[in-house]
Amino acid sequence: MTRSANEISGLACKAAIGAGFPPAQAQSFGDAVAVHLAADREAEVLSRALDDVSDSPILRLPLLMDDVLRMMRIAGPEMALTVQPGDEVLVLSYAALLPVGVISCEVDTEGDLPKLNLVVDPAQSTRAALPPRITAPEALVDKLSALAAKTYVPASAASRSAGAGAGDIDND
Amino acid sequence: MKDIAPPPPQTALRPARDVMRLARMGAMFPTRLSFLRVLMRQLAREGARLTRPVWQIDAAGFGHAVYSIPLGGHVYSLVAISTDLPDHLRTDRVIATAWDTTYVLYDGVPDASEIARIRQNAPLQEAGRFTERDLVLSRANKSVRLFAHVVERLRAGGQPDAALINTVGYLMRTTAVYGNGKFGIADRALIAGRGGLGGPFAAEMLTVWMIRSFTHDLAEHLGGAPLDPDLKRHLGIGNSTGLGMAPFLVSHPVLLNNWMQARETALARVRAVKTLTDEERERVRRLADRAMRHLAQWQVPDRLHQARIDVLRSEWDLLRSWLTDETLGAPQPLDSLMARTATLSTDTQELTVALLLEPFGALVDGLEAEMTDALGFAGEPFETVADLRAAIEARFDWALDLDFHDPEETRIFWYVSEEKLEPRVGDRHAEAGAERESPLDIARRVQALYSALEGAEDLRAFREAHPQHELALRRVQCAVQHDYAEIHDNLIGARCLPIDMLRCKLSFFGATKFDPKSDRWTRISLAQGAPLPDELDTARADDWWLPVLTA
Repeated sequence: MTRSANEISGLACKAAIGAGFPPAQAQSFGDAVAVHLAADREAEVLSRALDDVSDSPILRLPLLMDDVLRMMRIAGPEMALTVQPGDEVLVLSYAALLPVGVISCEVDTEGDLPKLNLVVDPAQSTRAALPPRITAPEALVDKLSALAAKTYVPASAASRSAGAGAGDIDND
Repeated sequence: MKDIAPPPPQTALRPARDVMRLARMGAMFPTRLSFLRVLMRQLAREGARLTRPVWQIDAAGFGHAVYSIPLGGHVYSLVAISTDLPDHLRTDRVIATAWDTTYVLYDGVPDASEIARIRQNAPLQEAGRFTERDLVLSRANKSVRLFAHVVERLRAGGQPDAALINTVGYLMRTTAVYGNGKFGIADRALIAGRGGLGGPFAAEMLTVWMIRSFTHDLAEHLGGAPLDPDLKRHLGIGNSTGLGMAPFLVSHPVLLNNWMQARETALARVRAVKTLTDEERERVRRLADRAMRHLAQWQVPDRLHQARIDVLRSEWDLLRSWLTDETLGAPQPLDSLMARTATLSTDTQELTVALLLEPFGALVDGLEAEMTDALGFAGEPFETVADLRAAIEARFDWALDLDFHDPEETRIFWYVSEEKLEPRVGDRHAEAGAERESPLDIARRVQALYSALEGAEDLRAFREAHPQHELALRRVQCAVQHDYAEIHDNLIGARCLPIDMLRCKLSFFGATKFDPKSDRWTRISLAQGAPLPDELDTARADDWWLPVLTA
């Protein structure tokens, strides 16, 4: 089944919160998941990212993206930043969401530690458009859905009775 | 080289510490920057004509219809489906599973197979699946009392009772209008760059306006006679709006900022007007009179809200008495008038804002282009702990003053309900589930960040060691660049009234006749008084602020 980008992003964001990640990083992860799947990148890295709340690219990569912006201001539009092993694929999806133009972006895995080689254009502020439909592996969707469900709360009777709608029946 | 006209002069903007209070947001009125108004102007500019290529409605009023309209170089179609709904299933609540009518706004003109697909899925609403050709999904139930009355009167060769039309205001009310990718419909990004649908909620507003036409046509079809145009125009679309709408204002801080900034800039431009022409003075007076009649026709069952309306009526009489040639002939008269309302209620002040914007389209209308947020927030990262702390002190001093040890300041928590995945609020000290609360506790988070920064030296190291503060940090970054991005109130405190957030957002939609049913949900009217499809090329297209029924 294909989905809208917003469906995927929203589900992934909730899943990350359900897995125990803080909301801001969960939001970034949600956005990155849509980019990642749209680019047909390895879905397994998304699943793995959710497994360890103390050691995850979901925590590391937002900080790395801020480092990119800082480096851009200090050293100019060309940069190379060290990437944690295991984050090589997902970092590309986060980089695509930078609030500047990305001229080139690749990860060099030849050295001891992977390097993100990036050329940006600070004068641009447009993001690449996502396709109208995104295909996500059902196993990933199942995992995201299960984690997202951990954020839901059974509505109390008090809450239900105070919700929108005059009562159970509105025939006025 | 092209000349770029400088922006019109303006006074200082009202500060966020005043504007972004819940009590003031909960007193807002629609203005000419409201999204329905913007859409009607766009349709009028383009000379758009609404057509009805399909009308497969039987004698009992059930079946489907398709309406099409060109806008911004595209054609959009509303597929409307009317089904037989037993009275015992008619509920406005989000838990409903069946409705009188369901709708899809379609990108293009649907062929028979697409109509068949939509007829199969739209009645299922959340349980259906949709495609990127489906832009908006909605449903509406009849106002049984008024719908039956209108049909009965038309069948008898008469017209419906004007007083009843004014009391109810609509033949049907929507209980949801879904956009932006929900249930597989198109992401907003797909249409955000299109002329006409680029503005916030433009697709949703187009849907609502087209649904209104369907409700008129359905009543006339069943009644076998046309409605009087004045009565018909006063039949808008009702809506029951609950908590589902409130978190949007918190989760979209840049958008909120841009809406408020546009409105406040419009006010500042109008306040800077040095003198009024005779025609402008007369227009201000006529609009104030119309507002007075509108207030007289706005009656709600809720005792507290009716008391507010009563005060507003009384103060509006006073304000109207100020609109003399002497007052309006003085230098910078609208600035003086606005300043003079400082001693009156917040409701009156905000109605005055809406009044002052209305006659000055030339100063106001271009600002609608600034009310979108194509990219989301992208703030400059803070370099040092001192920078961040200073920004918190400057932008969130109101949050630092809150005492979160007081149980009343943490009384409510926001959450997503398991049964319908809709936002709800609970009592933290009496109900389970607070450990899963949604992050609307911005003030508490910023205060916690500020405390945690005490003694920290390296901000990068702090962020790595304390990832739980990242949301608060981002909000501070955002607030530095966007004055109106944050609601300056504690959204988890016992005094927080979610309905204030609803009123703010709904006023930007263009809603009128707010009819609060609790502090958590309200009924409203949309598109009441809006131009009928054959009036888009008339002056009515942009002259329906606070409509009144004169029939």
